[in-house]
Amino acid sequence: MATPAPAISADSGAVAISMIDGVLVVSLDPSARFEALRQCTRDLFNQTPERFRGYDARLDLATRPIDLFDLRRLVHLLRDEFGVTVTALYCTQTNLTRFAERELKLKVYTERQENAPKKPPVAKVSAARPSAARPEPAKVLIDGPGAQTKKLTAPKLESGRGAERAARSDAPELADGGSRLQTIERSLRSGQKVHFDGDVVVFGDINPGAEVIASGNIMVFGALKGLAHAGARGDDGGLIISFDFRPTQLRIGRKIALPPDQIRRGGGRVWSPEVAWVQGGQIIIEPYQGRLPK
Amino acid sequence: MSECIVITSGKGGVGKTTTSANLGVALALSGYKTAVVDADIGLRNLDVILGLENRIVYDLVHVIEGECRLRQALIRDKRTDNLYLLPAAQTRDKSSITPEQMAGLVAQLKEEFDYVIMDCPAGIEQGFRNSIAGADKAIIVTTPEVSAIRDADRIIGLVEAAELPEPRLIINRFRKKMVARGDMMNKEDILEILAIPLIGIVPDHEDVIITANKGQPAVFDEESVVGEAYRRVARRIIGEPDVPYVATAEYGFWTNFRRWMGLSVRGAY
Repeated sequence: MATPAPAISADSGAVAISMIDGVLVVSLDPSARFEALRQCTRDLFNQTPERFRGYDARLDLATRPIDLFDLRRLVHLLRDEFGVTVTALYCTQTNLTRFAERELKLKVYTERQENAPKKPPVAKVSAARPSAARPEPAKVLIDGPGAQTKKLTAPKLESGRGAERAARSDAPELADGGSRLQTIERSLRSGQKVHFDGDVVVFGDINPGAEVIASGNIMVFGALKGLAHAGARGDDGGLIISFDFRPTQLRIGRKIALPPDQIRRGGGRVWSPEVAWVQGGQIIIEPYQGRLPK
Repeated sequence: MSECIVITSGKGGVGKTTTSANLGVALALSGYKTAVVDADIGLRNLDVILGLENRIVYDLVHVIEGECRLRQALIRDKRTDNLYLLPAAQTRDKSSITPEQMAGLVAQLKEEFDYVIMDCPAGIEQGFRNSIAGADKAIIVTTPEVSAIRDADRIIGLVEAAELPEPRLIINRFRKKMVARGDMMNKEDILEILAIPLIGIVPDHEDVIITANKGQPAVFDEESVVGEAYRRVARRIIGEPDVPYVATAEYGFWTNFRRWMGLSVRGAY
């Protein structure tokens, strides 16, 4: 169900906007010069400047060679002048992919997914399925005309050995985006790190000096004594749950929290599950009551 | 069946060299032909602790570079039949040898000796990598305090990543009174963090300094508690089951009396 695009810009189609299944897509002509593109984008949005304020958009670059610097300028233009937040990119260049993910925190798709539903933020979706150590295969979410039913399988769970080596899961891209899960079946020692795009479950401790950085949630079925960073792509919706909560430092999204001064160092193991999440703009830690915090 | 055991810790100053020297002596006194190798090139200490520094002519770097044969560099300790030292070089540094060369050297040593004890330097860089190159097993030494435990944890991670079998732990400089007061971590706390099997507890004692200055490892002294602790570790290494730990026995009345009187006390920690 595509709403017809608003009027195309004066530069004969250098930039086009369309709404596809509730997703705003800004397509850039592969051959136009970048300055022209910026101007076109500005003109196009200026025709209805307030219409898209607050929307999330995706940039469709296709095979256009665009400079990293220019990309950033475009993203900022859309954000600062029109309140449109670019959350994802369609592009096929690999170096751009890495840059976009790391610097601009954008999701990158290598193929245009015309019929993809509006992608919810990664962490929230996973939060809806708490402690999914073995997630069931996601139900088919793609509906509507022209839907392609992809065969969905549960993500491959990697065993704990080599947590240092495994940073990315082999899980196929799931349609609802974001239920990738990395399971670590042992403790993490000082100096070991796990960086993962998705949720992380650790069946063991995270010792001081070890770190887990995940774009989703982090669940530690043991003592959290090191560093945990949930929502590492800038998403404040991430959760960190542990049975023995005494981290050296906690980070969720872009927020950092230090443990309270009287935190217990050393001493025996204590089992009191707690969850850390962002509320009211700061990270709070409260006992985990069996349900996720609202 | 020879084996090479590396004594490592990460943190400096926790007692690796003392442990290497004393374990070497204890194993030699038990009848096994033992070589102790100092891998701390540039900052050699094992020769001093063993009291053999005046007899060094060739060292491990000479052997690896081919200037002398292994036999010429090994120094026999005259106090016992079975102990030999391969000293480190003092005028070189840890980049002078590669892990492959060290592995080759250890293989040569294992042909002749029952036990090769490798005294690893502090750190996680080249010196460490050289030391674990030829090792079959590892012993981690730590003291019961936060920074040493943190470093030991890191080292255990590196040892596991190097695919050595599960290392064993020695807790050094253990102070029973401080533990009883709650001022020092106890054995359970340490094992909870490090999660590897324990192989020895060595009490903190002046003997260590005194014997180091004299160049006479504590194991030679029948009366020393530290010596007794290391002798028990050697028994566990050899495979004797159920050897009791030195630092966990209670002080009896008479033991306290004797200590107060200044009389010698035997294995009473």
